[in-house]
Amino acid sequence: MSRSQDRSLHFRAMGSPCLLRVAGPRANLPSTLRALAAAQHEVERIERRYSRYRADSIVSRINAAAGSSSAVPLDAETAMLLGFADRLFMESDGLFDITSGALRRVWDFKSARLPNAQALAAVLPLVNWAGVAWDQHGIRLPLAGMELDFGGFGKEYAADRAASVLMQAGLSHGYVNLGGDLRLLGPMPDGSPWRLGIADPRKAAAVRLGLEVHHGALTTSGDYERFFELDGQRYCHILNPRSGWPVQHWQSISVLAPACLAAGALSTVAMLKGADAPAFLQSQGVAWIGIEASGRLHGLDTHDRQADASHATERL
Amino acid sequence: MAATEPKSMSPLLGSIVAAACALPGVMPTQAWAEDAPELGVISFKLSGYRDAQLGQGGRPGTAGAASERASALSAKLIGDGQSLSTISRASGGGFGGLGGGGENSFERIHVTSPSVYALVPLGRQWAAEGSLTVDDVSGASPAYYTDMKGASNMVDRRKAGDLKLTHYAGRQTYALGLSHSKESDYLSNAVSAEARFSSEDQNTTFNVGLGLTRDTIDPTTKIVSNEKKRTTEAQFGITQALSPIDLVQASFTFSRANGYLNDPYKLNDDRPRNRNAEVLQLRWNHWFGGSALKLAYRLYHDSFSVLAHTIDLGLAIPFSPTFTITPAFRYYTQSAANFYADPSALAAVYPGPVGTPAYFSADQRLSAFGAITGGMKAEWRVASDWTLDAKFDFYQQKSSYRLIGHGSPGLNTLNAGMWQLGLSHSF
Repeated sequence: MSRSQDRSLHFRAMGSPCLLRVAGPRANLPSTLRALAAAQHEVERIERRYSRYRADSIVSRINAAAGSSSAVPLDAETAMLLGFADRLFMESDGLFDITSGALRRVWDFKSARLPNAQALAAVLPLVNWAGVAWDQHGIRLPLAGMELDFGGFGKEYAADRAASVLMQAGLSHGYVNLGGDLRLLGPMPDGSPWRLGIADPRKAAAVRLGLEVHHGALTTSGDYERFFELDGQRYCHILNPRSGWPVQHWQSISVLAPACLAAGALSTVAMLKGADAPAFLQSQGVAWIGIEASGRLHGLDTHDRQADASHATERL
Repeated sequence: MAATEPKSMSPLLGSIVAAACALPGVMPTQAWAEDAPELGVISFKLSGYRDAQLGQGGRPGTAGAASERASALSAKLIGDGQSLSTISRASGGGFGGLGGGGENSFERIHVTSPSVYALVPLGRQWAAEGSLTVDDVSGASPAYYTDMKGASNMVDRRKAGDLKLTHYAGRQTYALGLSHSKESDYLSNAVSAEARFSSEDQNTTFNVGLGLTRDTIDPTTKIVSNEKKRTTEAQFGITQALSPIDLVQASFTFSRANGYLNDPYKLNDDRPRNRNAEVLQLRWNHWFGGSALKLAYRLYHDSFSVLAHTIDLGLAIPFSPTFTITPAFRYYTQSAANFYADPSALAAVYPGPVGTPAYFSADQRLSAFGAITGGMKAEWRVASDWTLDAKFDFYQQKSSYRLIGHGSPGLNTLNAGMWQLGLSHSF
């Protein structure tokens, strides 16, 4: 019965397919249409502001001013996001660095070539969040060629903001899925959990395992999104900002957290942490599933499909 | 199945999780909190009214069908996707279409009304909405019961507008409304104030409202000039979510009208100069499958001794995520005012009082009758921000439709059709 009370909105944003899905008795109210449109607008607003592919975004303006002596003024929202990124940087011992984007210039995943050591050494000084001068009012990238990239958390932030728009419209069943970053509004209308799949990192379009989740957010960072293989070694797009080299310990790490922003940041940091990921994730009090390079599962007891980030939510 | 608590879940949330959740907008502040609307809406509506009555006789008002128009305050069930209704025409003429001179648009044959409505969010906590309506009224005035000399054909125009400012403060909402309506012979100004309070779990909402209307009646017949009518309304309501699929609402409205309540275009129309009315309204919205059932009952009583019952039934059926059809049915029945007199069998004479009663009216809107309204509304979301809607209602009023007791004799059946086309854009 309740399954027919379902409404979905598909669109493309942030280079990904996006889906807003609401279910339950409120799904067919006229106000729900407006809430869905408002949630889509919110995603598009964040994309406009923080995409480095848009010349008019604040990120592009900051990057364009790199190396100049004047600071780019910051608005409150951007300053808060930078504050969060700063915190991630410190708590990850510098592994989560939003200036890592410069490394992309030497890693060419299309041509599947390793960067030469000199080129890599030349860009490494550009990866240095600690060297960025910023406060609530302005930011200045000290070296020409430095660049900020909100790619590590912008889409996750958008998923949370879109979910909040829907929840504040009274919608409590459904989810937001921005290119695989999932944020639930709440369980299915009958109270049962949503079944979420974790992609198989080695088989395209296959699901490695299913999770039943009532609340919260699920994100996965993996070595399978952009990569190349050379001499039997996989080189993926998640790059260690200190060495400049791709991570190798995990095929993927999925994190369940109350918010997508938290889950996304933690899954990325965990990929970078390598063998230290389990202890790090445990210290953050989140449920997680890691697929090791060998294919072995770690983390959440995989017999226990009743994963639920709501426990964590309630403790907030 | 293994342990219910995931092994990796530590008792305390980490600092990164807490920092993420603390960013504005990442976690909802309140699941049901009434927030100022984030999107603006502009809509254009074109509506029409046309009626026919066989034989001679006066035209009663479209009592049940038009009842929503005439109140400064009217409660809308939350969950209809709308805040409290805007003031459409604050003539204060009364529920059940029992107006004095205020309802003279119903005295005519053919009305076409274009209107525009806009809602503009002003920051996170304020919203302004307003509408403008123009009624072009044309056609032959009824030959009978009307004392408008030489007016077998008439054209009139009513211009009306209203403005409402709403402040959203967490679980409380406050609104102030102003409205104005002007015709050549009728001027109406109204002000209203509303407040809504929601319980902490957002399952219960209380609302109180106060409406004041000042009308000036200057009929072309010069029977009277510069007459006044003042209407005060107070409303209390409660809306309760009984379950995720059941929403109920009860509201009580008291209204007091003082001043000129006669119909200046009817001869020998002499009514008391004040009228108190009480209205109890109960609503129930129930969702099943994808459809929404809307049931409403209204009890109206006033000091003219009119007692009226209205039952509304609507079913919103979504045929697709973008297309919804809502068939609706309404039944209305009322008793006659204690000073209503049945029309004379002699069609050649104006109805007049027998003897010298204190009050007298032959207005069919004050007679005992019943009425049914059947209608259909279609709503089509053309794009995520554009919606088209079309609505048609058929209305039939008959003495014999009265449910309790007999209907007033000597009145002909009235048939009326109402249609509306609308286009809405959110931005």
